Amino acid sequence: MLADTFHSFSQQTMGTFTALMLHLAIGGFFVAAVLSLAALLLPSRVKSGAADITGVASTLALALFFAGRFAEAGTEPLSNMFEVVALSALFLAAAYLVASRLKPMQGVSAFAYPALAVIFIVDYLLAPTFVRPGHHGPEEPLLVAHIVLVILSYGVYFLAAAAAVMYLLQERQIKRHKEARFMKDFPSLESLRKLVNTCIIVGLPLLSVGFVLGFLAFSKEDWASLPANPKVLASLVLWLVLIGIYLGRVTGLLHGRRPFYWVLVGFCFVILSYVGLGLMSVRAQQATHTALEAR
Amino acid sequence: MNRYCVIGINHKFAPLEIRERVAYPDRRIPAALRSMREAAQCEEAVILSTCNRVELYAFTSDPAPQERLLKLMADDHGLQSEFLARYVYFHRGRNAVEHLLRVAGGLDSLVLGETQIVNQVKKSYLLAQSENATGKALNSLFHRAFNVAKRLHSETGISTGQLSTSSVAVTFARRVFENLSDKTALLVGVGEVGELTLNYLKDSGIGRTIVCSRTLDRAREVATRYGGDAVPLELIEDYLPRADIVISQTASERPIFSREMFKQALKKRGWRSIFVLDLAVPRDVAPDVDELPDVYLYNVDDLEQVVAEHALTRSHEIKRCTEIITQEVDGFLAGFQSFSAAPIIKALSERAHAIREAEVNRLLAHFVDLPPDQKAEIAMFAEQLVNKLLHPQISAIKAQSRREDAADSLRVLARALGVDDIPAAPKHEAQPQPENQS
Repeated sequence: MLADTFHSFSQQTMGTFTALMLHLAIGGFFVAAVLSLAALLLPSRVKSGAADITGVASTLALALFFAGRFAEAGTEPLSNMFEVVALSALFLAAAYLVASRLKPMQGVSAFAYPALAVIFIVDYLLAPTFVRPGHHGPEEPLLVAHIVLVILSYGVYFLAAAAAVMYLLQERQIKRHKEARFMKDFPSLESLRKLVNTCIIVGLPLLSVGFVLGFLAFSKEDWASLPANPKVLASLVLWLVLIGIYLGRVTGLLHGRRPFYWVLVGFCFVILSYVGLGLMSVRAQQATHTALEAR
Repeated sequence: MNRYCVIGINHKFAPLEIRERVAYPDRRIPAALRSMREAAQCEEAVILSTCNRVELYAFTSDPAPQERLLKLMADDHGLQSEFLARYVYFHRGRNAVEHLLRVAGGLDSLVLGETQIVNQVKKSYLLAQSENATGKALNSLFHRAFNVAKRLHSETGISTGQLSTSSVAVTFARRVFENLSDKTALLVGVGEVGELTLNYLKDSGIGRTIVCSRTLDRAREVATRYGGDAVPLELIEDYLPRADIVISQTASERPIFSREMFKQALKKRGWRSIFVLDLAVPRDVAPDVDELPDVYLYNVDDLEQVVAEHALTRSHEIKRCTEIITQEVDGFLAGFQSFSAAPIIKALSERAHAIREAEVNRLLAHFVDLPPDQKAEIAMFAEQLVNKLLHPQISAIKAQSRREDAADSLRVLARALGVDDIPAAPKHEAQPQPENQS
């Protein structure tokens, strides 16, 4: 049934090229996830380079998919939850590739690619709810910029969460004086801390500006309805968590493992805003869009 | 195959006093190689001399090379052959090939799986090559040994994990810190292991060193060696916040570092991590320091436990390494044998085609008026006929050459075809690049 829904969505909405690129990207990320995990667990037999090559190719395919989609359907993908999630995955993949290009860190790919694979599994599983073929996308430039910036910040935040998980695992091993074989190639705690900090420093302004643009896109009369939108609420909590982590780090109040736990708490709100609340808020979303369209 | 042989002594069979006496300094190796080739009738020779082993590798037609090589080894060092014979081992043929592969892979080393030995083997081989003491046989064998060493280190866990407490400590420090060049190491108390650890940190590029001791003169002496600063022990609390890595090895009977000291230090340094190595017995650092976030405390027991785990992991890999070596020896033998058949096949083919050419020329001499295309047809027909007649014979020779007992039958065939001798080997003669000694 899920496959049927997605298939009918593909048939109705996408062109042949975009559908092909999307499937290539999804398949590629699954292969990259398997390869990167194999490289982590069996470093003597599988090299992580294979996962990286597959990952780069998949990211390229996903970028081509969106280029094709925006060309054929304008901003429609931004109003479709399935494609919004896929766009987050693209930003996560791009953030990972840029970060690994600037500072090669072994082992991170074993978290980034499986995270991407999981995102697509969720996207597929929830396709019946997420997919709204033929729905018009936002035309207001401010709203388009708002959606893109928020999704971009979520992508960066996904990477921060992956690095935080690695930090917590690695830190526990070092504290316990152990050396798990699969963590042999993990980056140092200092590298992971820097990566998480960088993601927060980059993600926070993106999310803040995204919020401001979002508020500006609505009229004052519509502001009152926004707190009723659970997705907005979840994003707001995420923003507060990010601010809290940032201030906690600067003042030294958050140290040790705590900031990384908070990153994961923030990540739960990202997930909630996408999945849980996204599902619950269909009505609220529709009301918001109706209000916008009426304007 | 039996022409490969090795005679030698190592740490398993001979005490240090004997190994010292039979060691070959580099300057004496060229002369010793000449002696091997002249006095011991070795066609090719390589001498490997390290602190743990002295081995003479040879490729020789001598049916009983053991006596000659033993005598040469004994004479070179002013010893009696009978005395030296008690300590040496001798391998020939397949066993000699396998022995070199095990040595290069670190399976025969005192520290199992160590990687330095392959560099020493390379150095010995290059020295022999520069003295023109190697040929196809030993070139191929040593190249195979270098490849096997690479395979063992990359495909198995035989060289994983350090086996000294100091190097393990530095590895753990590297798991905490990305870059040591902007970090400060504080050595508290001056002891052998502490200094060795500092040495490892220096090699890993530690940025700054502070040495702290009860006697300032002693601290200055060590600090000067490592280009660092010396401070008296009384000021330790002031310097602790500056240290990213603390190595403590004093003779104090009570802990000199308390939890509170580290807590204050962490606050002053903005909760940046501190890696602490407590190498003292009794301990210098209170155990509850480890409960503080961002402090990573390791004591001697922790490090020794990791070293023991590494040694155990390496020993578990021996079976896999042995399988790889057996596979590589089989591959080497197969390649060796089939290469030995190559000149025989070449001679057989040349002889048949010489006859074919002579007969075609004789025939065409009777038909001078034939057009060129018909002459070419006849020549092509003759060539194809000879190739088809040769094909089953060449296949049979190749099959025979892969058998264990091929040498004698190939030699008979070689004599019948007028091939001087079955050459000894190999596929490539590329120069290996010497690696830096680790």
